[in-house]
Amino acid sequence: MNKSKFMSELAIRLNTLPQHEINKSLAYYSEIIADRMEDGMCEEVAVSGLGDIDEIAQEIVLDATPISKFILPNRPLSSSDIFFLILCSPLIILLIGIIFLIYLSVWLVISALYLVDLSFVLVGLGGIVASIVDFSNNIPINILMFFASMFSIGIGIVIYAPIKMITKKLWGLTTSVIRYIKIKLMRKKD
Amino acid sequence: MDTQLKRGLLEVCVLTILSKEDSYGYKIVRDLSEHVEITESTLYPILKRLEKQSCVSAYTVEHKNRLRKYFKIEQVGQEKIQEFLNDWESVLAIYKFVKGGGKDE
Repeated sequence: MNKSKFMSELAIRLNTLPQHEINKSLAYYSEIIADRMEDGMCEEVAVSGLGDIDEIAQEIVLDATPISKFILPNRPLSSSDIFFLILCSPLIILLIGIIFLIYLSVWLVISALYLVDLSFVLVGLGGIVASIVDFSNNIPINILMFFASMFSIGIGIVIYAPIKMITKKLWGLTTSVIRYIKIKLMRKKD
Repeated sequence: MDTQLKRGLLEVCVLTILSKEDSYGYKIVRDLSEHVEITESTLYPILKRLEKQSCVSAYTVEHKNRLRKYFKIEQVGQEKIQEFLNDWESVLAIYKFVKGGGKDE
């Protein structure tokens, strides 16, 4: 396949995307092919080395299309579609609601962990200030309070990294699940 | 390797290349392929994502009567590299612990 054929084939496969996305992708691949040729490859090798055009197009479409575009149909709904949609709506709403609530509760747990972490730090800071202000009144108790407060801040700092890691993992998992659903829906639409 | 993990690692690799100098698609792949497996098709979504996250910015330069898109690392990108290094220090400690069968060295 030569460069112009590759570009036109790619444009056809990307036709569901907005024009600016198509132009961006075509500009990228046009530049890459030109650079490969400038590096000494012949046109055919420069194009074939990019890999399978269907896989290239699938990656671009997956990345640039929001999940709603895969779920909502391209054509207007027929009256039978609307009838079945109304008939199934309690089940659909219930199912989406349950999934959403489970997902939301996981994020709420993570938010609670951040609040616990913050409270360790705040209690620690408050304890340090209080022990310094009140130091002369009860020296042994205030020394104890000072070190306990330092310990509390220490816990706050130590547990921050694992909570942040859990947040990142959950976000990564969300992205993976959305990608998986997109691939399934895309294949079904094809 | 887990796809999500691989994506994250490749993002940091691209940022590392850009932290040395501004670069363009083909050169990034050429420089990186000495160290990791990456193709031009894999790089495209990575660059798009990094641009969206403001880790990199892009500008075009005329080269032999055509336009070439250069990418430049931004502050957010530099911070992402640092974050990666910090995170992986603790991961490496866990790796050593697991590889050693849970024994102290």
